[in-house]
Amino acid sequence: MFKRRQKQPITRLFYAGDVHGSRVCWKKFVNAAAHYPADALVMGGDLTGKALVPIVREGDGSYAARVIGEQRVARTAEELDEMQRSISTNGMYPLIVDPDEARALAEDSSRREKAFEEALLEELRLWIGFADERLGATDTRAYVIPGNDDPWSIDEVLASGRSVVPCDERVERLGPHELVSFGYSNRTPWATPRELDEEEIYVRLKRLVDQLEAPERAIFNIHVPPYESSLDTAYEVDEELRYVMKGGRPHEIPTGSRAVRQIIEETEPLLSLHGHIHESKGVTKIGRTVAINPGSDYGSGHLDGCLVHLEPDRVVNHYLVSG
Amino acid sequence: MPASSPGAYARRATGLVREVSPFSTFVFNMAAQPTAILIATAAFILPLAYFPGGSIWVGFAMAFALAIVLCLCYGLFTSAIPRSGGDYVLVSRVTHPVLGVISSFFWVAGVILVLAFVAQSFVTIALAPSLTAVGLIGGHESLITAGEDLATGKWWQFGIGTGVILFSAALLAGGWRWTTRIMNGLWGVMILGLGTIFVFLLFKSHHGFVNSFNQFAGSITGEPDSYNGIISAAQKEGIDPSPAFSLDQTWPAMAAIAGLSIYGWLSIYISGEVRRAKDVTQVKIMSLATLVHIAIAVILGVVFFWKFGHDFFVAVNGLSATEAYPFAGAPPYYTFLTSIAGGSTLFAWWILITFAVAYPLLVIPNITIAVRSFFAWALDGLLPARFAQVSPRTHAPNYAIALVVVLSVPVLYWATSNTEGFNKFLYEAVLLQLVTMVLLSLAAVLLPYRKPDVWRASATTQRVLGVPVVSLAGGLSVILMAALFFVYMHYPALGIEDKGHFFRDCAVVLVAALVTFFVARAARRRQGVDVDKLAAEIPPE
Repeated sequence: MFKRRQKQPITRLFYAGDVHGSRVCWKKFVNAAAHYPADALVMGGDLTGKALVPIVREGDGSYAARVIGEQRVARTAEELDEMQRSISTNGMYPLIVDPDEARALAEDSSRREKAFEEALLEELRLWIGFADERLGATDTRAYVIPGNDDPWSIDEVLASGRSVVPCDERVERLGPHELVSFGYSNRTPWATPRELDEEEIYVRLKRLVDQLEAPERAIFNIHVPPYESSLDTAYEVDEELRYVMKGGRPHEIPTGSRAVRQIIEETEPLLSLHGHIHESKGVTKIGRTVAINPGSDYGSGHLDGCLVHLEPDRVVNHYLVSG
Repeated sequence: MPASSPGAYARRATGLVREVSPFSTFVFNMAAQPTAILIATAAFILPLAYFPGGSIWVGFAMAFALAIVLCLCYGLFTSAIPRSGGDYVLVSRVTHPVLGVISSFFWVAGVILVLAFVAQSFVTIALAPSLTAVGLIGGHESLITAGEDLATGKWWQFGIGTGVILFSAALLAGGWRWTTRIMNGLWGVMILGLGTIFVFLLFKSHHGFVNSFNQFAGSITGEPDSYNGIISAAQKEGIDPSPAFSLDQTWPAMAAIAGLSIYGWLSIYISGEVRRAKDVTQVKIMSLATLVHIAIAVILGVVFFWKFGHDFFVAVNGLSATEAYPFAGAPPYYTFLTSIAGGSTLFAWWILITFAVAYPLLVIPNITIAVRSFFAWALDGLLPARFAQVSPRTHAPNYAIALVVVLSVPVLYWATSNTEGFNKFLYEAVLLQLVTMVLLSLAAVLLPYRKPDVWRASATTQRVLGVPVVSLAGGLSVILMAALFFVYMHYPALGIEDKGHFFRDCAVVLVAALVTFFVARAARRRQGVDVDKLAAEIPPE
């Protein structure tokens, strides 16, 4: 009855998601392995940024941009570098343009999309290079999936890394655990690139969990949180992407996936990691499964993540961190 | 200067939303220093009774300047690190976790004392004098007795005060939606009350007030001209109704006003939940809250001196601190004097209710601040993880809320059972919090140098004479806080009679903070976790 618990090997895992183009957050994600430390890094999707910021090259040699509502001017190379860094820290892509190009971007949406795609792929290549440089000489790997916001073109870039393991819709071995990863979300009002109907999500996840050797030791890395889990509460928006107001306030609703909840309830993995709803940070239990959404505040340059210590059959402890 | 550049182009992607609207943030900052309480208990009665010759108007101006510097400093600071947890998060991220814990202990110690005081004051300053005042005005003996019972009944004070704390805790446990609704509602009622007073007095002539006062007071004083009788009685007590200006007395007058006017920035404790926390919106909201707060007090102050009469207003406030004051149990708060001018019981009830709501209003941000601090400690592993857990339904950190209740109710019991002993500590609350504000300001100074990337990505990177604005504002804040500290220590009438007592208490808080930090760190280390690293920024390079 009073037998001391036998010491079990501990797997230290660091999870974060939704960095949305923030270079500083990605670097922190990679550096978290040495900082905390962690044996494995897991990235839960939504790597790419949401905004492109034109920096206009003016006739007098200066550069001008509007950064978080503030008109900024760079007159030297150092100031330009500072400006670009502050834009990328906020999860946006800086793009240096002439006034003519700036006008063309403003008027031509296809040109804008092309510029966006080029900027985000170029940025992602830098990220993969950074991960290879930092993790290449270690045993630590970064298990990375795209999220619903990420364009398909990033898959090829993710696959080019040596220390980055692209693992969307795959089962990977992680010590005594198996890692099931899935980056799609259910339908959103934003009609983002990687969305599926609930039935399709269930079918694909079921296919993955059927491959598990020990489901009770499994770790889920699923971008979208389970439905009605408290990890999925967001304000309701209408088709025009405006808040739905009730009683004079934005109306909150659960926005997670019913299929994800069902698969967690059926499989009862050890741990289930999620992102997608940035503001619904938290930890909860679904059956025996510890489910975590560390949230995201990528725009502040702080990486919201979760450090989890696992024995083969239990979650020893978990810390929501903002590094 | 180049033409304005285009802003950012956004693509279709899922959006981040935060819960607290700019309006609720504004109200939160105003609730942290309810204007009605400033006007009733600090802005006039204290300077006029204890610091004759001190200029209230200069005091208002100085307190406003002080408050605006703090809003600029802390507003810019929190926009760079928009997280909930206030001083703990900001100081620990920029300096070291142990300094964050020290800062937070000083602040939370002050908050717990203030919570108990406000809960007790709801009975002793709001309810009891209000009942007495309505009883006197309407001639209801039972209300006067009820007021006396509340003013002296320790269990009444403890019971009702506990109710106020539990009510606010229950609100927070219900989530932000209900909290902001009730908070905004209480604030609205308070402002409506102040608006009613302004409009009513604007249309009431000075002679009309004198007549109303004489009619009311005659039955109590037995004098047909009680109005001038008050002035004469004050003179007999050595109170000069028209004292010459004294700068020496203006400093403590300013400090009395500042004690309830320099907290318009407290939304830094909920920055992680505030919409548009990343840009300068919070600086604007904080500054606006401070401006509106001071402006209302100044405008009503002008009206009071004008309609009540300068000499009378000085005399009645001065006299209230003596045995010669004829209306025992009903201090000359604006509520009492305006109710006399109204001459109607119903009007008096309205004025007094709109004043009383300011107390539960003040409890809401104070509980929130303590809860968010405990929540942030728990996230960093300094408290058990359960204090960082939130309710699945309301997202409220219920364990942290319960901890605040568990700490504040016994302090309230102490306050009610030994008011004199408690007050010695209470007056130190402002000074304890000044220690935090100095640490916070120093961290703001260091932000651009210790966290250059975070600063560059923040709302403003402007410099003045080559120094970042946030550092300048931080430096100025340190100087101003040090000056305010000196004023509090120099004038015993502000409450600090025993300086040694204060420094002993500071040492106790400091030791408690250090013990908490190092015990937690040792416990986590045994679990294989380095607390310093949990709280520290992950190296970005």
